[in-house]
Amino acid sequence: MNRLRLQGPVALLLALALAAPGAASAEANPVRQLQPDGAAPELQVLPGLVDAKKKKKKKKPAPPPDEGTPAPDLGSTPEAPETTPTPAPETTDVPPAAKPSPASSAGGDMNFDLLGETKPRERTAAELAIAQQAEVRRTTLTIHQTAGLATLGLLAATVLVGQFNYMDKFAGSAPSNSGKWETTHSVLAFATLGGFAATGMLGLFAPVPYDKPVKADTTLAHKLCMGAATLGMMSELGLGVYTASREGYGNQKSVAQAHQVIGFSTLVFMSAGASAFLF
Amino acid sequence: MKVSLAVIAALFSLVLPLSASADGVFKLDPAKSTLSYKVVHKFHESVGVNKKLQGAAALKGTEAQVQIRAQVADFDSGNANRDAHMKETVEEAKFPDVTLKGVIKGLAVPSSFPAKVKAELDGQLTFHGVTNPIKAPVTLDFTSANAVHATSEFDVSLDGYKVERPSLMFVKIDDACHITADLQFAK
Repeated sequence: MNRLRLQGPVALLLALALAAPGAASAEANPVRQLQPDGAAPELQVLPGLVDAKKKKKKKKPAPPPDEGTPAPDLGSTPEAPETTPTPAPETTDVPPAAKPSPASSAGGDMNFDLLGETKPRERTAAELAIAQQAEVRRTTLTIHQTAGLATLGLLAATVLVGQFNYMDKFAGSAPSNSGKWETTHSVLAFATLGGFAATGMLGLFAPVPYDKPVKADTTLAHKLCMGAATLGMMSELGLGVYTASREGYGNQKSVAQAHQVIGFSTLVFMSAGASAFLF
Repeated sequence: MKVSLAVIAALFSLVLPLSASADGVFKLDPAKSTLSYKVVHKFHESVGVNKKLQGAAALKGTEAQVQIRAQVADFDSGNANRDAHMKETVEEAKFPDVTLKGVIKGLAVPSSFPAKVKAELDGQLTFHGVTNPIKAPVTLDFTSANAVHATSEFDVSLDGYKVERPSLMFVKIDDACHITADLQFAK
């Protein structure tokens, strides 16, 4: 009877530790949380017992690791957590994916890892290529943006001077027809065409390191507007040359009017395309 | 006597779970958790949301350790071009992860549930290959001893993380990047 009384508290503590996981220590709790879904909870073992088991285990020769014999469960989980690519060590008191650091209690130390090891790894050739392409794309699109805005300015100037040219030739009952805007309009028009083509090429041929699924977003709006502006530009090139060639013919005014309307439309489309990214 | 001990142990095993503390490791529920960023340009704002987070929190007494990891590629702003541009800007191929680690000290863990607790996270944020210390206010909503809903908002400096801020119409986005975390943890 005396022997039973002496063992009673120890046995009670053991029984409580086995039966009440909610009262287990924080070091033991992580083990319980990482059980596979639906699996029966592992028995929580007091640290002293773990040590005792380890000592007992040392007496027996350990099986070679390649035999595939599972290590005795001392409260650790048999599976590595989802986020840990490396296999769990054979015998640990807590799994590597959940190691609350006791040191953190002392001074806010961040030397803990609750998610598993995140070893820095070598970048693959494909990842390095993506990184390089991203740098090239960034530079390319920065130039594309700058060149695009400059071209938009040139187009606005071309349309404005073209309007002056139209008024000089056709406005009123007795237009002056001095031709003083023609050269300026032509120079601006070709500069605009060149800038537009170069800007478009930069956008079209910039490397695309990351997938960009087509969605109804600002980029699609930009592309649609610029597609329409491209058609306008091509029309303007033909119509501009044709209008100039109709000097002295009766239909020059009507051709010039079409050239004027398409010019303004192109400016609207290009402005819309440029400002699409503002929204 | 053996029978008496077994009865006592059985009774304790019934009683103790009812009074269990919140101590332990909480795993993040990705289906109910989001991490979002907001960057501001003079002309508009952009918000990207990540719904594929990994995370865990270890609670012990009055201290909690928290760790959250997000993949840069998983942030979605609803604009494919903007997301691609974001990846280029933060060099996603070189630095694919964003990791937040932190410790909450002096946490007044509630004894009854539900209960809301305000605390401050003292931690570090690793982003774009740079690790900087952060302090963030956190609201912890303990719905039970086994479930916590954590929310936090704070700003980080893009320059501080050596991110070359993108520009539009020659105007760079603001340096402050607003981070909002809405995290659901459960045992």
